Amino acid sequence: MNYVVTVQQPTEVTAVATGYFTSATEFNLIVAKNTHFEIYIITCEGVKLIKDVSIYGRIKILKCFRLSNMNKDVLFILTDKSHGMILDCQKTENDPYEILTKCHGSLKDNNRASIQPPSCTIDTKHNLILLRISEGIIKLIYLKDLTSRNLEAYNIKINEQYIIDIQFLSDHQKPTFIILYSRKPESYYINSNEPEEYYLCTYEIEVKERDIRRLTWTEKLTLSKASFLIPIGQNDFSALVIGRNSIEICKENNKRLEIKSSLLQKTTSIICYCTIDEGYRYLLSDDCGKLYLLILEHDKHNENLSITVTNIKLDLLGEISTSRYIIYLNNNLAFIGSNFGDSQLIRIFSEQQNGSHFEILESYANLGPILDMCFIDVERQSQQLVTCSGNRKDSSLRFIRTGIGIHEHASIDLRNIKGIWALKINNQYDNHLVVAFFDQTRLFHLQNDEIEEVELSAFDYQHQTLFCTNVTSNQYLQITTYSIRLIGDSGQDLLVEWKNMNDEITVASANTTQCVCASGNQLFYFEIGSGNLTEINKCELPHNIACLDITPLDIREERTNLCVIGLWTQISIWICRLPTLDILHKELLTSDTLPRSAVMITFDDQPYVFVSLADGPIIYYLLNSEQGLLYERKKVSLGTKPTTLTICQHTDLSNSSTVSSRTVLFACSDHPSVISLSNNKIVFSSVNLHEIVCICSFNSEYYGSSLTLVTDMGVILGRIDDIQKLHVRSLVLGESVQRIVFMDEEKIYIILTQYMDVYKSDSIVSISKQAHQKIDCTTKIKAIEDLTNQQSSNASNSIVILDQHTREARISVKLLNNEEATSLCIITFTDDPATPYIVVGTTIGFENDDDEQRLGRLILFRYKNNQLNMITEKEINSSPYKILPFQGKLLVAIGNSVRLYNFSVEKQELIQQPESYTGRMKCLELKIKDDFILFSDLLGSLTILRYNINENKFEEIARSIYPQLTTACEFIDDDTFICSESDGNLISYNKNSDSTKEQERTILNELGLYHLGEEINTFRHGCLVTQQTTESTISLENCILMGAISGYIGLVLQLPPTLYQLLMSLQLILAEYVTSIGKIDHSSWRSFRSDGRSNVSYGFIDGDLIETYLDLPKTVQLELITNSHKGNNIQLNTTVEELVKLIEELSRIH
Amino acid sequence: MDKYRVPNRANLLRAREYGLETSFIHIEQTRRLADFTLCKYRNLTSYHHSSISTMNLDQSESRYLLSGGSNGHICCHDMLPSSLVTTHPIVFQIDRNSNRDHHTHNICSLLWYPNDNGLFVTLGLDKKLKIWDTNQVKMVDEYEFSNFAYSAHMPSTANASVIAVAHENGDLRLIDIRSGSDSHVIHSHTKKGICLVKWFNNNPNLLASGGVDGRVLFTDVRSSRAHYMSLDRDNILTNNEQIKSRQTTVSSVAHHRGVKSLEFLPDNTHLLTVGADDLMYLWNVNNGQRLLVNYGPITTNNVRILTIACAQMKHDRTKSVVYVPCGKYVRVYDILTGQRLTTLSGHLMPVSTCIYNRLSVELYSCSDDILVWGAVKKQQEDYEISMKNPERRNEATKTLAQILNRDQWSDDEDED
Repeated sequence: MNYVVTVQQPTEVTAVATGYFTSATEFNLIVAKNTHFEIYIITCEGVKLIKDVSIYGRIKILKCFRLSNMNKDVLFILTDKSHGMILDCQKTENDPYEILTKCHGSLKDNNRASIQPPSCTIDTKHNLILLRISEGIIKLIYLKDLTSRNLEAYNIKINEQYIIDIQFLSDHQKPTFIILYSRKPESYYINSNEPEEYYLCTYEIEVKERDIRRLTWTEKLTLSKASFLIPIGQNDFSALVIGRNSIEICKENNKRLEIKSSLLQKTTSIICYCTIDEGYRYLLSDDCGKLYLLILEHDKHNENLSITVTNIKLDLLGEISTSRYIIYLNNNLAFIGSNFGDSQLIRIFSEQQNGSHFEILESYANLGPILDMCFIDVERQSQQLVTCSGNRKDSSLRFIRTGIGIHEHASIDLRNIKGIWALKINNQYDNHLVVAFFDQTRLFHLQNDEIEEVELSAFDYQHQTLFCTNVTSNQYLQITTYSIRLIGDSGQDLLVEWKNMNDEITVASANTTQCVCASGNQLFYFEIGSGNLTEINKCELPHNIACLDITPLDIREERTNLCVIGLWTQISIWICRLPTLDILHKELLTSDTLPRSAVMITFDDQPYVFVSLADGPIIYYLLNSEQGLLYERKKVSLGTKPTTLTICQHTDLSNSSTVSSRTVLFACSDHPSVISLSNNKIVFSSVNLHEIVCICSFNSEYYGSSLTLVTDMGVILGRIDDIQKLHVRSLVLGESVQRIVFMDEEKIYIILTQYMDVYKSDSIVSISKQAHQKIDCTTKIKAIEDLTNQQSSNASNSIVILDQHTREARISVKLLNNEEATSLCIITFTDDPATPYIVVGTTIGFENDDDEQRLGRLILFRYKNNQLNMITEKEINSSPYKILPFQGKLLVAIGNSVRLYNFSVEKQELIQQPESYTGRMKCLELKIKDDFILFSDLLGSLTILRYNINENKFEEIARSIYPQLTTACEFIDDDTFICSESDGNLISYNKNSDSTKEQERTILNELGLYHLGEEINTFRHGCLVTQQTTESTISLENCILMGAISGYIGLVLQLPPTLYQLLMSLQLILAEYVTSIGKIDHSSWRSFRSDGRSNVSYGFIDGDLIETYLDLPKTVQLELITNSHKGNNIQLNTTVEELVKLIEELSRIH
Repeated sequence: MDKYRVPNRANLLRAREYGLETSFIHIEQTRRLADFTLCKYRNLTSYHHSSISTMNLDQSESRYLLSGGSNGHICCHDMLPSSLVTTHPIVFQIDRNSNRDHHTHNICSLLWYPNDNGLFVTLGLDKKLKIWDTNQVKMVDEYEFSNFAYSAHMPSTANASVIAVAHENGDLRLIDIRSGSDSHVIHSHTKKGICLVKWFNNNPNLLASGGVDGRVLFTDVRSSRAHYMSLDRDNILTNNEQIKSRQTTVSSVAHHRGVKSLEFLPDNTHLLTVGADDLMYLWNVNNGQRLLVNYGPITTNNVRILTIACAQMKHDRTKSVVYVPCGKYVRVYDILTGQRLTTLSGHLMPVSTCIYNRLSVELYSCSDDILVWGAVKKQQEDYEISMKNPERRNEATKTLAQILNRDQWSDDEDED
């Protein structure tokens, strides 16, 4: 009964291609990222994203090629579930880049799957696609036969096993391909000292007979891990073979040519290549992120086009992200598709410039692989997810939060600002800023991107400004605590000044023709004319006035006949009639804190009154503008500090053709939000800034429609996003990071890192070396000391403490030689409940030893006042894979068992408790909830344990029965659990504690199966948005975030049964209606498939599919519902409005 | 055994977190594959009173084990969960007390419908083939023959609906369960009759049959010819130029005496056969060549049909193991080298069938009872130690009593 939705699409690059896909003239870069691919247009400046296409499948192969009867290229895609498709891109009425499926089909068969990733090569001359998916079989697709929409392949048996690479040789009479294979699987060469042997052989395809014939040319290679073949020459039998640290050219009847370069050392490992143009130049990159240029020097024999390569040259260009894919675009641009770091776009210089061979033009954020996450929710204020991402030098922490982003144009360093207003002085655009401080006011003039302070003589600079605006007939109104000034003549001439004799003005508000101000409990009303300011009326209210507003309800109007007043003492909102100042309505706020600001605003012809209270919450009412009545009160809590409400004209720039302006309300506080109306519902979207004091809209000639935001750090002039989205900030660490926890008491992150000398980088200093304070961890345990002194190691493992706000490394603790930190937690013990400790579990690593025989230790640290002290350590006889605080004790998973440790304050020592539980193979994951423990075993899948406090022992409650390889698991609630499986599936379980049969009680029921297509590494409870309205139908209590290898972040939400039923029906209807790219069935994409088991999907709702309902035209939305009543199987008993409202609510949680 | 040693698990787990290791599960299975021992604390709820002649495990869930006795009784056990200490319950049974459609003679073949365990097929020496609905345990169709049939098989590919039945008189009968037609008969083994029939793993049109005459024939059911290949033991795959391997001819014989077992390897390119001449041969399916692998003598005694079980690791074809019933023992061989890895002993009567459960990496074998073998040596030792712990003894008395009543068999002891 869960709803699964994507929060962050996969970011890891899984395939790249280039070609003229969108049209015959536009050269495209196509980047596949697991379940979606992005189409870019390449220009001389760089690349431009034009379309992002999602696929019901994980893209394994992406190739762009030209069919003989077309003038542009098509795209061939093969998914993980062996569904093949050929896609075309056409311009249509609705969409300039519509993706059409030319043909599709399943290329699945029953043969033994290969351990190598599928490989594909295309011969456009002979119109053939050659695929190698399973062992012993190659598949041929005849593109000429593709008249129907069905993609079909012919299986041809091939004797060679373990085919590593397969390539067509170009321009042969008959299609000819070359294969690189080994006779033994790769693992043989890793484990033993057998010499590595690889073979090349060539085959010719008999097109008519649909058969292959082995040709004479074969080669035996003894390269180190040969992994790529690059055919060279035309109508030739020659190829470049790239191994781990070797490059060789093999040619029929010729001597082999091998490169000798000092760059290729024993430790080098080349992992990807690309060809530059058609020339004899290649880009290579290794696993340290070094980019090389390979040049084949050659002689050309004029007559027969045959080419002899005379020499191979290899140059080092520089350092890039560790990449799995490189592709050369043109104009010296190349795209680096990375799996461990950010993807990059680079420009390669023909001549060296400033000592470098290339520049990085752009980088594209990649969160994958997400190894661990921690969720921070400080008083529901700053929901933030921190992920451990990347590997080796490209490792980083990513700080992820959701909100409306600010695009900063300019900033002014001014502090202690109380208010800010924009003025148009002799200009149709805003060009001046009035900035109020306590006891003074300053005026700034903005011209283009320059800001200068000016003093126009008629303005009052000696007092704090309360309100300032352009008023009728090119005049300006400045209301300070001292007086009201009507200013004309471009700010030079003070026309009228009105002073309240006795008291200061406390609050004020104005529009172009009207003005109200209050002094204590007195209220004054003025009307503004040309050169005059007339006091029309005044009255006295029973209590002091806290806030005022006379903004016209219709922004085109110049005046209003209503005034909103907030009062002190008797905390209430009053509506009075202008100009008579008759009280129309009194509304008690039932609050202890005074109203801070009140605003009248019209959203979609419905007037509202919003009131913000001094302790953060916002109350809003519907307003009857005729009678001045307030009704339908709603309350929302935002920040905790006083909130100021300001109306902004928010201009939508994303759609340049129709610049539409809409009115939004900005709530400035420590939890700044934008309040707007979306589909008849007030929406609160948080702004991605820490704290905003005040704000004004600023329609600049130079920057366009923008905002000035005052923060405690200064003034920001910028533009805000239209919708709320994820914002990711990254902190590059320069060394692998595996685990993270956040310590709330001290506001620090603790991370476990590993630095390897092999993968050192010149550009980044690793985080453990940046720390202010560096400590070496010692041990008093004899056995560990002996072991770690013996061996030297090339890796250094550290525990690093980072500051939450500055994100600087405060302390790094270097562990012993060969000691690896495996687990981390923060704990308070029962005997000492006030002190939080940091516990780190470590293993002493040996090369190739038995896992069970390892030594390890638990180290207890105390962090306080920027000091880290090691309290104690405890030797254990195996590796502590997971540690958790549990019932005031330390729960440790060691090998296949779970043990408890207690801490004795007197002895300052960890003491092992007698109780333990023994699982089957090896504990991979532990999760706890109350006194329940979720134990995930390497092969025995999930077990639920309960710790019996009275008897001090672990009881096995239930276990799942299907053996599967679990990667992560989590509690959904007391009775339901979720786990992810290594083939990219999610499984949910529940336990049957109430069952009367013992057999049923001890078995975990499968509640749902779902193919997610992502390998989840970690689950964390939490949700990136706060639930603001109480009236919502969904509860965010049991939200679970999940992080995957591909950089995917997903959200699992538990649904009530009725909602589940409704959404499931909608999912079935939508799955039928929405045409998928490649015509893959939704049900087959989501169906559970793992090694040895397959089943249909149930118990999970595909949120990504459900949310497409919102994008459908209104008529279709209605049609889907009404049609459902005609059919006799699925029925939707709801209306379009209700459904849209529900789905919108769901779409807002991520 | 060295070959079955695998990389360090901690490193593999770390590589998996980074998405660099895709064959983790296979490596973990390999680790356990050659290290089987008798699961002493796993019982199957006893049912059969006579010796068990055949078993079959369902393919879709690898969970339900059908077993058929020589008195015609059939029973189905639920083999999950595969805990260390457990008693597997009977899901249903078919005998004269519970079902009037029961078989009256020895059960020769039991078949689960591939990819869906809602249907199964039984073949008995009462010359009847019955098709059953699993959920209701009700016979839905029945075919009666005039001749004895010893073996039946169904292709494992999707949408398969044809059952091949091997008759005593040498006829190969094809039954399409969709149309109910059972008239398609191929006269392939003419002399003494067929013992065995097996469909190819990956092709629903090809089948292999083994006869009492020692011939192994490959037949394409679409073709009018009776068979397209006949395996010849002298057609040898070798690099030695001097040995001239004989080509397959019509009179080729795979074994000197009758064929007792046919099993395709999961890689789809090899076939293992066991003959009454006490030899096991490995063949290349594509060209019919015999690979020179010497497994040594395999005593088949007088078991009519042996079911051997092959386990092959997906990531590494060379890691293939076959479990061969051999008298009272189950021998474990490395398929490609012929090396005998270990011998599993525990049965008191000759073993007829071995079934490998790929999902939970365990082996089921049957003679007069069904035993479960798994890589649980260390766990069992741990368990035994914990049982000796006096505090825990009370709660476990019942289980201990059960254990003590069982005979305990040493796994290290070898025969002869």
